Amino acid sequence: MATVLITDDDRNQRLLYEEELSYEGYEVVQAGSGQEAIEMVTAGGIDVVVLDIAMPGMDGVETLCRILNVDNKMPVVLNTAYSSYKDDFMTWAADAYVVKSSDLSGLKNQVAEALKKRGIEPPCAAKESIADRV
Amino acid sequence: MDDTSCMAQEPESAVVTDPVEEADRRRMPYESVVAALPIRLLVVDEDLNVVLANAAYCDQRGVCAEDVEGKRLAEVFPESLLNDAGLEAAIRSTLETGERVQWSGCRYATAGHGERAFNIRLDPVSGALGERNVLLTLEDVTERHRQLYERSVLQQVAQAMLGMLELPRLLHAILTGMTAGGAVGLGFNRAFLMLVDDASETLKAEMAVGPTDPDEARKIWSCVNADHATIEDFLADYDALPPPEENHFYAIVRRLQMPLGDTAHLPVSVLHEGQTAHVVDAAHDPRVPDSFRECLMADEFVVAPLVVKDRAIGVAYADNFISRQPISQSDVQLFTSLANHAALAIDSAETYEDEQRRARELEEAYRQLKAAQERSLQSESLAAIGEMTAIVAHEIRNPLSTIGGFASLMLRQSGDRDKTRRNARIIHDELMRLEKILNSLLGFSRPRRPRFAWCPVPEMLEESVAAINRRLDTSGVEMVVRCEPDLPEICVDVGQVHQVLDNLVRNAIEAMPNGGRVTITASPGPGDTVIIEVSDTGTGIAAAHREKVFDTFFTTKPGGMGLGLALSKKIMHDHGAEMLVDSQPGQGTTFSLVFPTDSHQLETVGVAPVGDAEHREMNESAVRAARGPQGE
Repeated sequence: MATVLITDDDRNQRLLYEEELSYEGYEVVQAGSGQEAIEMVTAGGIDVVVLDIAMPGMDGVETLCRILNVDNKMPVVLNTAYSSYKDDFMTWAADAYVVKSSDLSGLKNQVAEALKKRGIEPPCAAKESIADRV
Repeated sequence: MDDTSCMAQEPESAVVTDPVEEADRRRMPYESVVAALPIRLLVVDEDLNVVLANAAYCDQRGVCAEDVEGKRLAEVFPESLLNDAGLEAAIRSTLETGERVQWSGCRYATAGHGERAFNIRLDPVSGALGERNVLLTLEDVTERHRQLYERSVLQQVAQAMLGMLELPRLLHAILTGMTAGGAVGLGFNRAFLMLVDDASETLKAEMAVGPTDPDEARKIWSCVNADHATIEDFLADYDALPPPEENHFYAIVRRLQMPLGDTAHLPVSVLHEGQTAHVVDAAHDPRVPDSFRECLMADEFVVAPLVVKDRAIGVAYADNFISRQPISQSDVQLFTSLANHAALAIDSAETYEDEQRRARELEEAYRQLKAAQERSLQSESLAAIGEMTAIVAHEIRNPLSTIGGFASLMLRQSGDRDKTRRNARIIHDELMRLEKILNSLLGFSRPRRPRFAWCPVPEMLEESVAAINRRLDTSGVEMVVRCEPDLPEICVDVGQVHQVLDNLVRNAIEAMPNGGRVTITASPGPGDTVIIEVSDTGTGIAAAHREKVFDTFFTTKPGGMGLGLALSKKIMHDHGAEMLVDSQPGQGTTFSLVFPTDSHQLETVGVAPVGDAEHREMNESAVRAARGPQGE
């Protein structure tokens, strides 16, 4: 089962993503800050990282760089309320860029795609979700 | 025969006057004096015949006494002098009245020598036989007059030019000085100026004055009456004529544009050599190109350089195209002098125009700078609005996406009552958060106008701390309040100061996640001030962030909006008070509120208490509000 690390300073958002991705069949773990996420990636066992950008302290862009320093094959999906970060070339290192919405299908599809790029099969429910969309 | 006849007449010769004897007899007693005087003298009898011309007169005219003596005056003097200038009438008057006439500066035109001027004196004298004669004393003052006249013209033109800093009018004045007759100008028929154009490296005609044909000349000369005392008067009259740029002559000469390197053109060679050229026969003068001659159609003309400090700035041209009057050497000299004066005036006018242009450029640059500044201010405020919109969008997007997401979950999980209840609570919390965001934004953009009242510091702090203790979880921290005795009252809106203190204590508690101490002190400050300080023993603020803590939307707190300290600073500013921060990373942070207590000083910044009754009521209501519902 693929493990997704949700990184967001907003507790309710983390809870929402956890609910939704668990329902899709993923194993979900949470980090409340960039630093915490790096520690968890370093510790291992993470297959894909969902990363907020606007976080106090270390922001998502810096966290992304540090995660790739630890594991440059780690799939990362940036998940942010800002669309403007797309202009920052530092964000281009991520596998996908999703603008936050109450409709989570975009996020779920990008997580599945990012995993497939790294040769990891997404859970069945997630596969169906992509098929539905297509 | 003749001899015979002479012989035949001889016997009568004693009776009939011998011509020689008669001449001797008629010689005047003063003849030897007159003959020897170096001034020109003529003696005229009552029939206006010349009886005597002295050597000075004959030498001057290049004639023998015999050529003149015995001739009628009309054969000796030109009509212009006798009749036009009135010499004959004057002689007759002297003959009749026997009165002496002195006549200075009698001018008359001659065929070959232009205008001449004489001082004439008419003295009645007696001939040898007692007949009445007139002694004409002629003093040629043409040269002296010319010099005086030249000086006066130059002075006139130079003086007129001196004050003229507007180039077109100055050029017009120069050309007028060259073409006007009478006492104000050199009297050339036509003149034009060519100036060096640095941009195109050519010599270009700038302005021209003069008629194109005799008809136009008559028209102009009748319009512009020669009786002007000054060139300024003349210009005023001349201004009534079409402007020079519209005249035909200018239309002709403006076609003249010569490359500065082309010395085959006479004006260009004059420019380079700096010497005036007087062309007498253009058709046969190798210096005059055909194109130049065909354009101007003048046989004789003069071109003088306009030189300033060894720098040639152009040339001046003049001719007598209409009158065909020859140009004398002194005309050439005078024209050259006038050109020198004109060059100086043109140079200073150009300098002035340059200055003016530079001043205009500066003014324009300043205007653009100001406009750019305004645009930049506007774009700054637009950028601020854009920034704020982005932040608000972000702040709102998070709770909205959470609400939307959980609402979807609720639909899916409607069978699971626990989860549904939890989701509903999250939705409720997120909606509260949205409301709080909106309240903060509205509070920041439209803060309530403060209502000031004098207030004792200890009571105010006590109320504030009590309210904080009720609102915040202060269990993990130690709260210390120290208030020095005998502090003067401060003029504040108590409700607003409570908000500031609440915000500072909240920040202090959040900076000490592992507990610590919050100290609130009140003490007299320098001058007439009271300082309230809120200190913590928390993580402190990094030096890089210290400058920004009061900036709107700056935050280091998870979920913070960056409005609290900005709003607090604004409230303090409205109180005429200062808000300062001091922090040592790892040791803690101190925020200081410095309240002025001098009422005059406060009034100057618009801080004045409301009436007493209102004051009491207001502070009581603030205290009630601070206590909250539990306090009632």
